Amino acid sequence: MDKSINKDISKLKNVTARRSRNFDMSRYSIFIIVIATLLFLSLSRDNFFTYQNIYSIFYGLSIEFYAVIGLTLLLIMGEVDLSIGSVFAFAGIFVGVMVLKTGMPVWIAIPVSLLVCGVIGLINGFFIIKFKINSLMMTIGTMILFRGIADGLIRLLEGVTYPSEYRMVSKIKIAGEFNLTIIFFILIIIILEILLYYNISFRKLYYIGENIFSARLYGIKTDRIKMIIFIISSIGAGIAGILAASRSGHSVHNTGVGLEFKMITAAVLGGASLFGGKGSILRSAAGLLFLATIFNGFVMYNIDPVFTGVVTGAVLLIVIIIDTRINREKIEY
Amino acid sequence: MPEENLLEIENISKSFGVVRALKNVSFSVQKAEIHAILGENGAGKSTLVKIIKGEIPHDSGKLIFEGNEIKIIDPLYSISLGITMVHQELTVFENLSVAENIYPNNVFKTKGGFLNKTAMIKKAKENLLLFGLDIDPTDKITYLTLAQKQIIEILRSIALKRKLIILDEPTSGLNEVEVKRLMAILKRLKNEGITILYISHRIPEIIEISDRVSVLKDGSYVGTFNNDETLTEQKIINLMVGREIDLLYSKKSTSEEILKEEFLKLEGISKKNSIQDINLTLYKNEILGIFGLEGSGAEMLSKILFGLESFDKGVLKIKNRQFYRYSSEILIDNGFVYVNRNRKEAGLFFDMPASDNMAAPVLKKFSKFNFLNFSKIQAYTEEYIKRFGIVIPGIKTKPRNLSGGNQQKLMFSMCLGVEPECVVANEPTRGVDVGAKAEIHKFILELPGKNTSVIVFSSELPELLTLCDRVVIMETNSIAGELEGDSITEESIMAIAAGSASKNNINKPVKN
Repeated sequence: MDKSINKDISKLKNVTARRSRNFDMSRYSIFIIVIATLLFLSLSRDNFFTYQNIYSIFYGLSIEFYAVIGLTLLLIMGEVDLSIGSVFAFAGIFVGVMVLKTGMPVWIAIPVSLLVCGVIGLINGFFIIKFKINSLMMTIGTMILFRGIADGLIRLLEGVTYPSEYRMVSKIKIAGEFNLTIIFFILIIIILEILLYYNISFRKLYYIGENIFSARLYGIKTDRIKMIIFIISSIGAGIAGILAASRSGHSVHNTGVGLEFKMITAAVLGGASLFGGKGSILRSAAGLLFLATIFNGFVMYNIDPVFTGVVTGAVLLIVIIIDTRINREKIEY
Repeated sequence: MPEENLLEIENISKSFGVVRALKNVSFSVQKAEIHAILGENGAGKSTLVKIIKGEIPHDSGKLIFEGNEIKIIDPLYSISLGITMVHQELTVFENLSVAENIYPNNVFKTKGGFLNKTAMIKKAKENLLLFGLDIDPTDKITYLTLAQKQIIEILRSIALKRKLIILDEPTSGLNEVEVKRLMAILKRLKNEGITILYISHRIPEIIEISDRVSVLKDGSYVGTFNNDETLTEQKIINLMVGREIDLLYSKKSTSEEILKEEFLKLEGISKKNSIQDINLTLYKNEILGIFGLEGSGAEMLSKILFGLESFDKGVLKIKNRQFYRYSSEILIDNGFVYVNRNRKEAGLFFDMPASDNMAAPVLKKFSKFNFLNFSKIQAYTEEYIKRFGIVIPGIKTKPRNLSGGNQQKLMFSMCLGVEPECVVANEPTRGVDVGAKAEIHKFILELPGKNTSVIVFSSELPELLTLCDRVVIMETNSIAGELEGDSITEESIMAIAAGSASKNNINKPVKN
């Protein structure tokens, strides 16, 4: 009897050992891909691995990055937010409109705009939680709605360049060298990575994503947590949008179009799953770095930028097929 | 006489992950017989019939139907061979009419190839009357009761004359009269030359109807027996369980007097179109059982009791504190835990390490300034694995890779780890093997000694007898009766649960 149990256990051990090895691979594969891409471009193009170029990749990353934070946290819970691209556009334009049309100081306009973004997140969260609307459908709705509002607002701007106070926001430097956004980028990754691993509140996201009913059964306040993360997602997209508008100095019609899909691609590349329960900020950032590097490589190889859509789409398809294969146990059975 | 065999099952094996559901099962089913498959929960009965029906592939072995091996694994192909099945879980089309549910394959056609609705409705009406159901066949099925839906399921597979009909626990939601009618229909079908594979855990029913009985135990084939005088209930149980049944189920002794201190009280709890005016008291350190057949409202009560469903009227009192509205969170804060009947749906986190599962309800306990201490969680998990005898390779193993019994034990560990004041357990031993069942019963029986009160919802009468000090029985959405101590017997519970209509013929084999 005991022997047979031991046999069973050793059999089980083999199986889990095999599984955990696979799992580890998928955990680190994004870093391997990023390093491979960086190596390839460094070796094949002279002007790629220069301080200037790498710095500009990271500077761009440190701005877009805010849009992927909330999305990653949502994906961990098995939810998604497609409105981030529209919120991104809206937030930057809204600040511009307030500054240019009402003469409001930038340091007031930015918090006001972010507050409105928070309200968008609140609306998303409220309907998704109270009326149990699928987050995909709900945020497609707010995506279209706020794209429309952003397009309406941009007419008021008439292509004017933003005043220098607004343009300076993204260019604040520390020690005359480093952009503040890059410092924040690194700090936020470290802090969130630690919180996601050790902090109770953040651990709860994984429980919710794994099985929301079980989570509720054990006293996890799922609705409140979801609401907070939807708000964080919108505010994060808003911060990214304001910084991006500040960086480019003006806003154009298609600002942030398709950003949501780029961010989903980055997060899923970084191991987040559309089925919930998985994801990490560091790896989402690595996913974003991969995409940024690829697009940079396009420039290096003089490839027409219209192909960026083809690449994002192809990468998204590949990672989603892989994601579904890895998680197929959850679908069948 | 091999030519008489309709179906031969040869060395069928099947594993789900590391769980071996079937191990080299072989037996044959003769033409025009009612062949029962018996076994405890988790013995592999449902897996076997799903393989026969072509719904899931087997790992090894052969299925020979009418002399030819079935090589194509496809439910539609099996139907074309003449194999049909009534599932344990309902598979009705909620938004279609009763008639459309009985005949989903468009057998009634007009000359032009259109659906002949009048013929379909007429035939459906006739079939419904077989069960004495006076329902309009054009009604949407959503409005029917669970038992009625189950009858529709049965009608669907017997309506089209097939060669082999598989019935997987068809009577779980039916009352005595309906069961009696089903038995008569099955016998008629048999006389018409149709073979029936019948799965049930209701042994009297099996003895009543079957010609031969095949027994499975823990995925292995025990044997096939003719249904003659030598096949007694006791013999079947011994074959199924493979040990003395007394070890498993024993009537709880009522020597200890419970201190009648009220712990939980429900007063006049009602919900529209569901339970009405429920008054219920749970005393401290008591194990209270709640029993009700399908559709009696017991399931809804269990959900309301744990704040998973809302209610319209009534008060809930915990230790004399009143709650007119409450949620699971309030109950959890007051020391309640809920053991769900379906651990996959809610209860376990299937793809998280066991240690993460164990920590879920007690995150606060293992943290300092909200930061987790993983070594404490590890020690805690190991302690419970040892205490509950969970067979698990390591604390990082995911519940998905465990057997049903060990999953259930893990879920119990999670719940008991919070040192609850009250455990609400809904079908605490559903889908677990016999050994694990006995152990879980042992844990539950120890709870009152640890100052924990328990409410057990169970559809298994022997389980209630083993565990409970008191049993409350529900029928048609209200409490129909209460039994205490020695008056708790299977017969007395069933008599109340089945309602006055059939109070007099409970548990007597139905002959016609």
